[in-house]
Amino acid sequence: MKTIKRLKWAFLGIMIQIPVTIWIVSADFTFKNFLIPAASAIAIISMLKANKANAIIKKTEKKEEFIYYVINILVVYLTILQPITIFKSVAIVRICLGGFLIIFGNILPRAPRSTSGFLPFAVKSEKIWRKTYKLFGFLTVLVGIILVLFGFFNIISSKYIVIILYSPVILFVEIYSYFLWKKEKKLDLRSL
Amino acid sequence: MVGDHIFKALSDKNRRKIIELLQTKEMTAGDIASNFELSKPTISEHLKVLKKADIIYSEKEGNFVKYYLNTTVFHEVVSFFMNIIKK
Repeated sequence: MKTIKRLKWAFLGIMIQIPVTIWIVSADFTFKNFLIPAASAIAIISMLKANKANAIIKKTEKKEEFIYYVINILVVYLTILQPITIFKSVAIVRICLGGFLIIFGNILPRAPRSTSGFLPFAVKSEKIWRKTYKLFGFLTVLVGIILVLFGFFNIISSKYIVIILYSPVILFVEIYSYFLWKKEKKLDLRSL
Repeated sequence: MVGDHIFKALSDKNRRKIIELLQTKEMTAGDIASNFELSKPTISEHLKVLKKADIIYSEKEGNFVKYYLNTTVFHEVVSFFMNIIKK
């Protein structure tokens, strides 16, 4: 229950931010100039409230702490991204997204093991999980650096550059975790 | 500087070896000490420095305190280059 209370404010920030961001980017909205500061203010207030709740409950589990940290980064980045869309500059958005991927990828090896996830083979053992997420973190940081470089030097001018760069990473990590699992299974059978 | 304690923690050869050991599984201080020829207080001091830099974290399990790895990509890269430079 305490966790829900703590995360409530942070979640509220994202729940408001994501649709508003999509709305502003996709449609040419007339109240844009009013809406952007309003949404940013709500995000910042919700984050401060969440931080306060976090300070009251000092003893936290590693898992909650990680989720909380990721949510914090998301709120900050969405708050930054919204005013930037006014300029309609591809370069700035790319640099910001690249920066987000670098920060997010950097802490990915810290992700505690959960019972489910989008990497079904990594869930099966602690060792595979750690190895997979280490590689996942490295590749995410790499994609972030490439994205920042593409922001400075506009080599590929595709709208879907993030998807083009990031989907092979997820595919590769998935295959990597599968092979690690297969290898471990083989060793287990041998020891029997 | 913000990252000073991280560089300090990773500049020692034995501390980098502790990180390497924890890569495979979590360990108690005794388990880690059995892999070194150093005294237990020295190992404990190394663990303290690593813990301060947020590279490892500890959790109490019954009578034992177990140490877990808590590295980021940045830590790994710094430790990789330190291994090359200080060989």
